[in-house]
Amino acid sequence: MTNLLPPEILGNILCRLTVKDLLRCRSVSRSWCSLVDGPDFIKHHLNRSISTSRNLGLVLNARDRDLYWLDLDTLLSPVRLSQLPIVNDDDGDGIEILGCCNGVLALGNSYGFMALWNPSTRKYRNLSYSDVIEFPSRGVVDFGATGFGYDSVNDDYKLVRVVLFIDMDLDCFPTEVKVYSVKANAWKTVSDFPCYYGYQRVKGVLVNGALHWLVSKKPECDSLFLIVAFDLVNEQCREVPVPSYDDKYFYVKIGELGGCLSLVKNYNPDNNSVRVEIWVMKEYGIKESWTMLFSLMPSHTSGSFSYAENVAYFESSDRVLLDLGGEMFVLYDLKTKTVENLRIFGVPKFFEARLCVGSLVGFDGGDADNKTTRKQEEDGNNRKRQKHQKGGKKR
Amino acid sequence: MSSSPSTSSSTRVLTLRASTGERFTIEAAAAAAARFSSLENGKKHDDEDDEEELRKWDAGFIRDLAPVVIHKLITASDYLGGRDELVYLLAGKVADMIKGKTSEQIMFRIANDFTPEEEEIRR
Repeated sequence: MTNLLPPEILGNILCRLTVKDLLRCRSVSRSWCSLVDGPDFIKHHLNRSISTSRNLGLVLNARDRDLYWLDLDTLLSPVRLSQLPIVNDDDGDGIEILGCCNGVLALGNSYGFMALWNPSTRKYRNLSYSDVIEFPSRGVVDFGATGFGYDSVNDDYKLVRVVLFIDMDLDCFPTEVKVYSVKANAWKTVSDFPCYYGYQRVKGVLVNGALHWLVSKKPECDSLFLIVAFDLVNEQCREVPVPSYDDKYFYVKIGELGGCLSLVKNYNPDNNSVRVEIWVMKEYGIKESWTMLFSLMPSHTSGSFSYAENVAYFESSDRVLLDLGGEMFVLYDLKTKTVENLRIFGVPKFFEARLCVGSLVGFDGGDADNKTTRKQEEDGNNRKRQKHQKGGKKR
Repeated sequence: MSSSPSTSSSTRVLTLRASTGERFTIEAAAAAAARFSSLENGKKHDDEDDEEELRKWDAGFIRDLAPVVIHKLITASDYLGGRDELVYLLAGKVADMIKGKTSEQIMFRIANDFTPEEEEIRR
């Protein structure tokens, strides 16, 4: 009679597998199933994937309005992600990726529906529709910012939504901030959120357990920007300094690189001389620690591009994965300071590329199917009609 | 658990004896016996430079082992005092055996060797 393989050892073996293989392992036996479903194993598998840079993929929000999965282990052609838990409205903004954390995507559409979705397991949870609390008598409602991340202290995933009540006659707008907690499966309002302007159409960047957005303290102001951080644990705001700069003509975006806040300056003054600088804040919160990692210009290897963004950092090979103009990817080697073209066949033109790990992280819900989305479409159309009548504009 | 390398004409045979008295042997290339007995004695890797060589060699050694032997080695590793490198290599080998297989194939090849649960088939 063979001995039972101790669960720690079986866990050690199985945590090396992809989610696809693990989902098959669940059918092998009851003990294998309960091991794979256990929260400890799920965390172990997640941490191992992140630390070894395996089970990674990119979620592409393509210009054809579909989401694609690009597997970074195989580098095969991106695959269209079908059966999303929320409907992709053709006449609106399409699907927005509000955030991505530990293998879970937070998705939203212009109807106001939001869902959390794990593209590897297909498990999802629809978020209860959260109406804006008070429509102001005048002014325009604008969803200023959203973000999604993990609160490690409370072992909770949270979605943050900031709504601005824009009124040009006022010096400062009121804001409404709501936080959705996966554990509580409920929204709650956060008060005393400071007033900032110009939240870009970029979703919160998760670094150090906080969501970050690039904002400015004065309205209609391109300069004098700073970074506001929303701490997911204590749900408080703080400011994070940006590097000093003299020049002006660049487009800036923040991101995450190797666990640090990054800042990309895209110089394109006369559409002729494109230059990109990638900066990282090596010590969180310390202005002087902002360092320029490298700069990049179109070359023979990279071809021409209009902008660049850092998408991922691979510590083992010390290389940065860059998205060039929403059309292709290159790897920048920080040691040799060289660029390598990542030849992937069939990459659609895309708006954004998000690094997403293949994980088993999930929540109660179910598997996405078409019934859910069709009903959403009806609800969404009704809601859109109501909003127009109310006079507020929702974007 | 003790080990005693002994030579035969072409390969060395490593004999492992569990504290329960159970004995089993594993055929190994000449270097294998020395390698594992040095592990057994708790010696660290002699040469940092050879680390890569040893790793390559380990992979080759593990590759040809039958599942039954792997199972014995893994459970024996507890007795060996948790030899991390050995468990690491063996775990990797078993993971490779599982990759891309259907649940039925995994059940047949792996689970049968490692678990006696044929009755719990989860759909």
